Amino acid sequence: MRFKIATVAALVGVAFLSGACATSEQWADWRAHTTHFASGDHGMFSLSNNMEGRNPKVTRLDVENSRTQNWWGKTITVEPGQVIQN
Amino acid sequence: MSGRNVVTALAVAIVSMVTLADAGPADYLMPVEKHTTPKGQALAAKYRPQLLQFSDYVYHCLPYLEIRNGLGFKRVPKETADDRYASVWIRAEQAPDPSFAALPIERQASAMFSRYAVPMLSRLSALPGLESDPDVFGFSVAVEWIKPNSDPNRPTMEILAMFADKASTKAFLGKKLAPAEYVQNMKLKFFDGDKEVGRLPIEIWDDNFVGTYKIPGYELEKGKVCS
Repeated sequence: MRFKIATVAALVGVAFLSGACATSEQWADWRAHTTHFASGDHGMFSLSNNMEGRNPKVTRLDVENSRTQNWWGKTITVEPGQVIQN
Repeated sequence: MSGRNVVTALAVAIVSMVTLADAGPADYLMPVEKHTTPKGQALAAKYRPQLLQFSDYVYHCLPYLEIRNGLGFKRVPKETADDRYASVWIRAEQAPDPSFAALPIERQASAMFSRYAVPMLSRLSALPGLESDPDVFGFSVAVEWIKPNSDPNRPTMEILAMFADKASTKAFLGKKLAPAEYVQNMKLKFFDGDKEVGRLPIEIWDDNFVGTYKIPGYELEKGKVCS
C-alpha cells in the first residue's frame, strides 16, 4: 500500500512538472515565432486554386467567398452592446 | 442604339463598377444615423473619408482580420458621459494552435492584444484630424477570436475590449508611457462567450506580426498599396 501511494504521488508530481514545463516551453515557442498562428494552414486560405500548390494565388474576393462558405453561423458570444455602445 | 444611349449605358456601367469596388470596405463603417447622439453622428460624418481609408487598409492589407459591428465613434457601455472613442472591433481568424491553446487565458488575451490591438491603435491614432479634435475622447479596440477547443459547430467567441484616452495612447505609442501603466489606466473588459469576465491582467509586448506577415500567394488588388 505504501509503495502504491508513493508511486501515485510520484506520477502526480511528474505530471505536474511536465505540465508546467510544457506550458513555459509552449509559451516561449509562441513568443519566438511571430507567424505561429494566423498561418496559411487556416481553412480560410486553403482555397481551391491552391490545392495543387502550383502558382498559388489568393485574391481578396477568394478570402471573402471562403469566409462566407466556411463560417459556422451562430456563435456563443455577448451582445455587441455589452462590449461597446453606439 | 443611339450614340446618346451608348454614352448613358457606359456611364451607368462605370458608376456601377466604382460602386462595387467601394462596397467592401464601406460596408464595415457604422452608418452615421446608427450613432446614438448628435456628437457621435457629427464625428462619423466628419471623419468618413478617414474611416473609409482605415477600413480599406484592413480589408485589403490584413485579410485575416474582419471588422465587426461597425467602424465608428463609440462609447463605453453604461457611461452617461458622451465621450466618443474612435473604435474598431476586429475578428482575428487564426489557425488552431496547441501552444496558444495551452496558455493561461490572460496570456492568450495579452498575445491577442499585443498582436492586433496595438497595430489597430497605432493606425487609428494616426488618422488625420483626430488628435486635435476635442470631440474625440480616445480610442477603442475590441479583438475577438475563437476560444481554443470550443465546439466547432457553435464556436465560443472570446472578446477583449479596451478604451483609452488620446493623451495616454499617444504617450504609449511614442514609448513615453510604460505598457503596464497604459494598461492600468485604460478601461478593459474580457468576455468569454456569453459571460462578462471583467478585467484581466494584460501585458503588452512587441509583436511585428501585422507588419510582416504575408499570406502565401495573396494578390493585392491592383492600385492598392499596403504601408
